Formats: sequence, C-alpha cells, structure tokens
Amino acid sequence: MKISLSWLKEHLEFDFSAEELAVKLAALGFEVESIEKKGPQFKGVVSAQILQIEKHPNADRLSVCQVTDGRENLTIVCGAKNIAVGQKVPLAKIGADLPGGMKILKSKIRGVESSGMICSGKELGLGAENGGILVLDQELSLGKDMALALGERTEVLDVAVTPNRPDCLSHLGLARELASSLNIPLRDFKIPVLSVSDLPSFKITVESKADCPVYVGRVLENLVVGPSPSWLVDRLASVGIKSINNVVDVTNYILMDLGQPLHVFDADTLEGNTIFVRRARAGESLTALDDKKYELKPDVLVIADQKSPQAIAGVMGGLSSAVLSKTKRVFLESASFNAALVRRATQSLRLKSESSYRFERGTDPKLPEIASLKAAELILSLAGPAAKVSAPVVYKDIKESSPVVVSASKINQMLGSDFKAEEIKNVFSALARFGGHLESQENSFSITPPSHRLDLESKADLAEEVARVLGYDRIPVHHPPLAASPAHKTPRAALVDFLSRRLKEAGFYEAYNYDFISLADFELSGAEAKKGVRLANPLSEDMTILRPTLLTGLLRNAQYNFNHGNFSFRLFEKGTGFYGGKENILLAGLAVGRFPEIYWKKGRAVENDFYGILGVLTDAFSGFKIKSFPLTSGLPYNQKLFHPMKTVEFKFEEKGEVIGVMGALHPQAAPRWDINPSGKDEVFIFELNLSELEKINREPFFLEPISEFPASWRDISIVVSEDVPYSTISRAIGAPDLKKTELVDLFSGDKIQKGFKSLTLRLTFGRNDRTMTDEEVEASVARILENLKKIGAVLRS
Amino acid sequence: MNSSDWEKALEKVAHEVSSENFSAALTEEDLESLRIRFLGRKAPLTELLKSIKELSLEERRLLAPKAQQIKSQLEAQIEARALEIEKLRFDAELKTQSLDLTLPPLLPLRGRSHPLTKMQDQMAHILGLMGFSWAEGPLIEDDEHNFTALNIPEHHSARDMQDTFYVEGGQVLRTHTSPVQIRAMRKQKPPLRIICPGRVFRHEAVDATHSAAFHQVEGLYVDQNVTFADLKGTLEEFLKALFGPQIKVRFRPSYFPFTEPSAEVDLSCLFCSGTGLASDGRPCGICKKTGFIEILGAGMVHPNVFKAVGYNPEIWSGFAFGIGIERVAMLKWRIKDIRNFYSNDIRFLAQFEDTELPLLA
Repeated sequence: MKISLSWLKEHLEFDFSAEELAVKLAALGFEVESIEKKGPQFKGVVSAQILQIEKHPNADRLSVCQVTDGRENLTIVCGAKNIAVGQKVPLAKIGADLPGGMKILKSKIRGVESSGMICSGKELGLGAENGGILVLDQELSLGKDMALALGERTEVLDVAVTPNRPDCLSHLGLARELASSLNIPLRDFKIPVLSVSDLPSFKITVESKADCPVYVGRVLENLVVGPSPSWLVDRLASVGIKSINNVVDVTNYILMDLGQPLHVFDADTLEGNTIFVRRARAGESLTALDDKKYELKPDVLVIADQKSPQAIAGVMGGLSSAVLSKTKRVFLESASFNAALVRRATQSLRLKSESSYRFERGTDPKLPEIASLKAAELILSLAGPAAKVSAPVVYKDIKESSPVVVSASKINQMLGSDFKAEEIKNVFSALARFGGHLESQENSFSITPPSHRLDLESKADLAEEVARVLGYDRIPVHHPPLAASPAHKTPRAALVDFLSRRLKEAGFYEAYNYDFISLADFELSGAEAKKGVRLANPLSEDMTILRPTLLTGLLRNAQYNFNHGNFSFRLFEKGTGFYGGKENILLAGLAVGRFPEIYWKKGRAVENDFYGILGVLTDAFSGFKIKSFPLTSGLPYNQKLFHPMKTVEFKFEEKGEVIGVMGALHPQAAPRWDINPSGKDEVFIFELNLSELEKINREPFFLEPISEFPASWRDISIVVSEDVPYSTISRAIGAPDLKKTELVDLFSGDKIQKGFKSLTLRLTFGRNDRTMTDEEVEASVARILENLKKIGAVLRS
Repeated sequence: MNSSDWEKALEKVAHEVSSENFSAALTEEDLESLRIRFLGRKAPLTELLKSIKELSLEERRLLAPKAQQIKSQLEAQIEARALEIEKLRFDAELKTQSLDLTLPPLLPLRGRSHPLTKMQDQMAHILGLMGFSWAEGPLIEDDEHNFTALNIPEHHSARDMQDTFYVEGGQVLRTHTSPVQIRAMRKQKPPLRIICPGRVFRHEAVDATHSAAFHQVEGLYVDQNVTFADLKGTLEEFLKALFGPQIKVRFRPSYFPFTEPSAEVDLSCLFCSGTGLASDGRPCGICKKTGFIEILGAGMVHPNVFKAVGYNPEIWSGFAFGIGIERVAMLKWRIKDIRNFYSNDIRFLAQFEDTELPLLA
C-alpha cells in the first residue's frame, strides 16, 4: 500500500519525517519496504524568460543569456543547445537547493559571471535527461515558485499491510491506526451535508444478504466528464494510479483516501430501473474494463441491470457501462461484499483489482454510506456547475460485532508480561475512541471493537493488540523449564544421517537438487509417466513433474561439472522420490574420475571403478547384513540408467525386496544426458530406497573373540572356466577352522588356456583354543581343493 | 719391574693419554686403532696391568686404582668419541636423504555435507539440547494439513502469503513444515516440544533471492502456561547459540494466520554489528541502515489451531517459530545468490569447511 506523507498529514497531525514514521510503523507491525521522494525536491527555482542569447566569448559550447524573472534581469551562462529567446524556463537563483544536495552559488564560468542556472528536468529531479533545459508552458507567469507550480512535494512510503489489517489499506485507515496506537490527534473528519435533488433513481435488489450486507447507490446527472485537475492527477500518480477522468478519478481517490472501493456506471447504458446484486446465471459473461471477456459461473457475484451483468461485484466493472467523456449521468455504487466470494471470483477469473484486494480482505460495513457522500461531494465539485445528485438508496443488513470479555490478568498471563491494568485499559479506550465500545470494571474489560477492526475477535487478538501498542520489547524474557526427557531424532532421520556420514567418509560431496524435473528427464530415467506426480501449475517446461529418482538431478550435476572443467567427483543426495502414489526416501550417488585427479607422485590416485563404489556401499551396509546380487529386477523408476551387465542390486536375501541398485551408467544414457566424462572414464551411479531399508532391523553387535594363537595361511592357485563367478568359488570353499579367504590375484590370457581364468586365493586358518598343526591345515586345504573340483576348478600346475 | 719403574711407566701412559687428541679420530676405524693403541692386548697399559702382580701387595693397593682410573677414563673418552663419530656419520648420511618438504601433500579423500545440511544440523543440534525432538512428514500434503487446520481457511486472503504449487488431483506441495506440527499434535498428547526440519515449496520464479524450493526448521512448544515471554527467552537463546552471544534480538508485531500474537524476529545486523554503517562509514547495504535483519517468524499458537488438533486452548498454550535455512546460510557464509545452493558445482561444495569448532555439548 502506497502512502503519501502529505496526504497522510491531511488526516493526522504529526511532524516526524518519513524515516521516523517508518520506524514507528515497523514497531506497530507495518513494515515499510521503501521510501520514495515524489514531486519537486528543490527550493529557490522560479519561472523566468530568456530575453537575449549571446555566444560565450571564451567557450564554444556555452551561451550567455539575459533572463528575467519579472523582478530583475540576470546574466546566466548556459550549456544547453535547446535554448531560444522568448522561452519560459525554470531558473535556479543564487541560494537555490537542487536535488542531490546541489546549491547554486554566484560563480564565474570561463570568465563570465553567472547569477544562477537554467535547469533541465533531470537537474530538478523530474525525469531523465532529454538533452536540454526544461521548456515551460508559455502561459506560465514569471517569478512563480516552480516547486509549487510543478506539483506537490511528498514522500511515498510503501507500507506492507498484513492480511489481517485491511482497515489500514488507506490514508485515513493508517492515520487512524497511528492516532489510536501512538495517541496522535486525528484531524476532524467532516461528513459532508449534500443538497440532494429529486432525480429518477434505481431500486436495489439484493439476492442474498450474506453475499452483500450493504449496498448504497446514488444517481448523479448533468455531469461534464473530462480531465481531472492537476492536484487530483498528482495525488493519484503519487500512489501509483493513472488518471482516467474526473468521475472515475474521484472513486479511486476515495478508495485510497478512505479505503472504500466504489464503482460508477454510466446510468444511461443500464436497462430498466433496478440494480440487482445476484449470482451470475449459467451462460452469462461480461466484457470487463480490461477489455477481456469473462465467462461467469454461478459462484460469481455480479451487479446486473434488468438484462445482464454490468460488473463483477467488488472486482471490476463492465466495459459497456464504463464512464466515458460522453457520459452525462452515473450510478455510484458504494457497497460491502462477502470477502470469500470476491476472493473466489478473483481466483476463478484470474482477475484482480485494487477493489478486490480490499474486499477479499474485508471492508468496514459502516463505511459505504460515508464514502458515497464524500464521493458525491467531490464529483459535484469537479464535474461541472450543473451537476446534481440524488438521495442515496440504501440496502443494509449489518450484524453488530459482539463484545470480547477479558481481564488484565488474563492478558498478562498469556503474554508473560506485567502490564498495569491502567495501561491495558488505555489500549482498549483507544479502540473505543475510534468507533468501538468499552465497559470496564477494575481489572475486567468488555470490548466491542470498532467496525473496521475485523481482526479483533478473541482474547488472543486482544492480547496481541495490547502487546503491539505497548511494545513487544516490554514483555520480559523468560526461559521455559528444562525438558523432562531427552530429545531424539526420528529413526528415519538417524538412518539418513548414518548413511550420509558413511558416504562423506568415502569422499562424497552432498548435492541438493530441485524436486521438479522435465518430462523428458523423467522418461529418460525409465519411469512410467502414468506413475509420476505432475504439477498442476508448474513454473516452467523444465519443472513439470516430480522426480521419481534422485539420479536425474545428479546426472544433470555431472553434466554441469564436466562442462565447467571438473572431471573427478563423488556426489550424493538424500531426498524424496515420488512414484506410484508413494513418497520414497531415497539416497543416490554418482562417482567418476579419480582422486586426486592430478598428482605429481605416480600410482597414488584412486580410480572410481565398479569395485571401489561397490566397496563403499558394502562397507556402509556391513551392519545391516545386506548384500549385493547380480541385477534381476532393480528399482522400477531408474532402470534405463544402469548398464545391464555392470549393475548389482542390494537385498537382505536373494529373494528379498530390492533396497538399492549400483552400477555403471548405461552407455546409451551418457549421450542422452549429454554427459562427456574425461577420456574413457566410466560414470558409476547408485540409488538406495531408505523407505525399504528402514524396515530392516539392525542386529545387535557382540564382540568376536580374538584368538591368542597364531593363524596359518596357504596360497592356492586354481584354474577355472571364465564363466564361473567368484561367488560360486567362494561358496564352494568351506572347511573347518577356515577364518578368511582373500583373492590375491586374478588373470587370464597367454599363460592360461583360452576360456579359463586363474585365481590365487589366500586361505587363513586358525583356532581360538590352540595352534593348528601343519597336518590339520593341509587336510583342510585338501578338502577345499576337493570341493573346488566339483565346480570344475583345478589346481594350477 | 720394581714399583718405581712401574709407576714411571704408568705416568708415561697417563701423559700419553692426556696429550692424545681423541677428536682427531674421525671414523670408527680411527677410533678402533686408538683403542688398540691404548687398550689393546699389547698396549702399554694392558701390559702394565698384566705385570702388576709382580709388585707387592702394598704397592699394588696403592698403584692399581691409579691404573684402573686411567683405564676407565680412556674407555669413557673412547665411548664418548664413538657416539660423536656415529652422529657425524648419520649427519652426513641423512643429508643425502633430503625430501623437498614443500611439495604438494596427498590429501585424504574426504566428503562434505551440503551447506544447507550443515546449517540444518547446527540448528537442530541447538534445539535438541533445548529439548526439541524431530518430527517429519510428507512433502505432498492435503489442503487441510497445509492450510485449514492452520487457521488458513479456503478463500481467505492469508493464502496469498504463500504462493502454492498444486499437484494434479488437488493436493499441494507443502508451503511450510507446519503441517508436520498438525500431524504431530494429532498423534501425541501435550506437552510437547518438536522441531520440523525440511523442504518446503513456494510457487515463485527463481532468482538470486527466491527459490521455488527451500528449507525450514520450525519449532513448536506446547505446555500449560506457556507465554510470549517463554517464546522470547527460547528464541533469544537459540539465536545466540547460532550466531554468537554478542548479537541482539528484537521482536516486532507481525501476522501469521496460525499464531496470535505473531512476531517477526530481527537480529542485530551481522555485517555492521548493528551500527547500520559499513566499515567505510556508508549505510550498511545488508540491513539498509536499520542495524537489524529479519531472521525468523514466530508467535503464540492460535486457539483455532489447537481446536483443529483437539487440544483444549483453555488448558494448553504454546508457541511456534520458523526459520529459513537458506537465509541463515546466506547471511552466515555471505552467499549472494540462493541458486548457488542448487547448482552443485564442485567448486562451491568444496568450500564448506568447519572453521568453527562447536562448543555446544
């Protein structure tokens, strides 16, 4: 809400500056977002006429002008090119103050004395540079104070009025708030007495009093509709409203002045002699003042004549009944409409206005009659000497607000404050002074709030009013008692934390991506579109559907980082995946390149390869008894992203629910995601569904005793067919007292028969009760070799 | 050999020993030849000691200790020199083993939390110590949890305060974590102290200071006789733990549909220390000369919210507050563009080191 300081002063007596006012407003709950100077910000500038122009003797680009302000002739040096003899111009005389702190002094310019300055619009702070001095209207008399001639000087505050205080969406409203809260005198508000004429008017029929509790109509005729006087144009401009004509401008002026939205219809365009306030009927439409046609549904309240809707109640009038220069007779509407109904109309029609902004927040039901009088008075004074006004036609069904009873001790109990009953009473008295009613008995109060204070309905509201006016800083600081039980996280948050920590320990950086992705990315990940969650009102094409997998974001991040010269990184993200009507808590990661990417000492870099990333996850899961298995089903929403042969899934048991998937990025996916890693680097990705993982209980851990006796180890080298997986081999190895099997070496090629591979295994044996004998160890090895034979593995000769 | 000859010979040995420069032995070999010369089997002193039995017992008693003393002294001198020589040898050898100590070290592979996670954890940690437990909820909410239960009725202008994303089918992406409070209150009986950290959504075009998704930590405290003074005390402690004991906290009236009275909480400006002036004397660009910056919203839980969850507002009272994680992180680390948080540029993520060591237990 834009508030002009000089306008505010018409209602309120105060002499503090705009900045001081901003501080006071903030303390009352009204933030001031900006303060803007409007109108002439200069002093000592008068209208003058150029009498003579000569070239400057010492400077080609300067002229020496003789100028008069009607009282004296002055010599002025000027650099502008658009000067001409006879022009009326603004002259800053010696001692003048210009915007930006410039003061005009007597000075010599290149040897010629100049007694002032002929000003451009920019120098006066009135607009952008247009290449020369400001040329004034020839009709303007000489020696006039330009600060007065060029409009009102004021400062305009942009005040953020919270939705609970629509009563402050006007100059009078804010003045009243300041008067009430700061105990500043409000200037007398005169309710005009109009001499009304007996004119043919309209009947008013209100279909539902719930929709429209107050409707005041008047007819004005013999009007001359034309431009508004400059004071009115300036006033409206200062608060950001464009002038239209003298009649429409009056309605906007009253809106900004009193806060009551008004509407004027060209009465001669209305059919019949009844104004109907009713819901729209099926099939009705209206072309509004914005020249757009709106289809009206039955939940829209309209103002209609005998035939058709002429306005969307509280939102906007119709184009056909607009008040134009040809208009002679108008119907002036001042009403109160149901706030929710107006809001619903603005939303279903996607149409808003200054009026609807106020109606949907709520207006003072006692204001329409006063506003109608004020508007009529002003129209009469502006729209020609023959203008006449009718008596008002009033429909009114106002419910009086009911009192709230509260005691001083209750207020103090709610706030934890120690305000005196007298102070609290003063706050309530101020409400009573502006239209409310207070009955007090020592410590107890019964307050009927004024009709404009729609926000005061309960004890809590009154407690806030007391705290607000007396100051939040006067409420003491108190520390609540200690909690009786320790605070805790949710099990889910603890699980996310645990896995995040494991990934960080393994060098993963945490990423944050948006939940909205493009439909293209959604489909590239392999999810089924019908199982996705789409936004009804996306911000853009790229953000239309919620992500089913976090990998879409991480792949985009990889693309970004590659494009910015980073080729080695490990990224992870925790977040929500939306799929098949469920929100899954996911944890995903991506790894590529090596660490460090560049190092002067060779052989120290760790490659991001399949077994490295598998190791990170295997380690993270070690306490969960979760293992990796060759890919069979995977996760349904990210299947197109994984290399079918280089991917494993994590499960509690072979036939269990898939908890996560890890593998190389599908070679076809890389070009589709425009991912170009360095050289032959492969990208590895994984995604875990914690919503599945959190169902698994972690088993308690107990110490495994450490043997005091030395272990024995044997290396065996075996040859086996290439298509026998290591898991088959490690499962086949099993012997009493075998503690550990480690793969020492794996190779195939020249020295080995084609189609076969060689493995060297280190077998560690030991017992907790004694040292094993060589014979025992040999017997175990023999048994292992025997078992290996069953899967076709033989000792390498 | 009589005793006087023996004694003379010993004196001669003593003289030789005392005039010998052991430091002249530069190697272990030099020292060994010295040892052989003085203490070897054929050394004069060895010979003397061997022949001592030719002397009378009395003479022996007198002279033997002298000889022994010379021998011990010799041994000590040789031993001392041996250590010196060893040191010299090592010194010379170690000089050949030098490293360029200034070459780049091999840093361990270490990951990083996202700055928003760090900030959320910090806030949750402080509030955890103050007795607030975690609560979580879904990101897609229904209108009832996100709005109406929070005293934001349908067709009320308060809905304009939060531009909302709708998903097909009419549900919303939660615009705040407050619906989690509704869920928690419906599940638990009072008293309770909870925080709801998490992601929220606003239908706003993304620019340097606006993000369509961002993060909040909200807190809720419900008990008997909870007052606005308790709210002030709790938030002041929280903010001092987060920003340091030197900060000042200011409460201003404001409006939120779910609280009454409502407050906007300001912090003395972190950039100009609340003076309103930058170090060059010009107005502080961050607090715009006011000396304060807006940091969170708070208030006493509205009776209508209690009614919506089945708490009796005549018995229970409480306060709620919400703080934006991005905003605090931006202030704390001087991040100028909120989009940085979602770029996942390695050069950005790599910078968030722990420079402060947390003092909180």
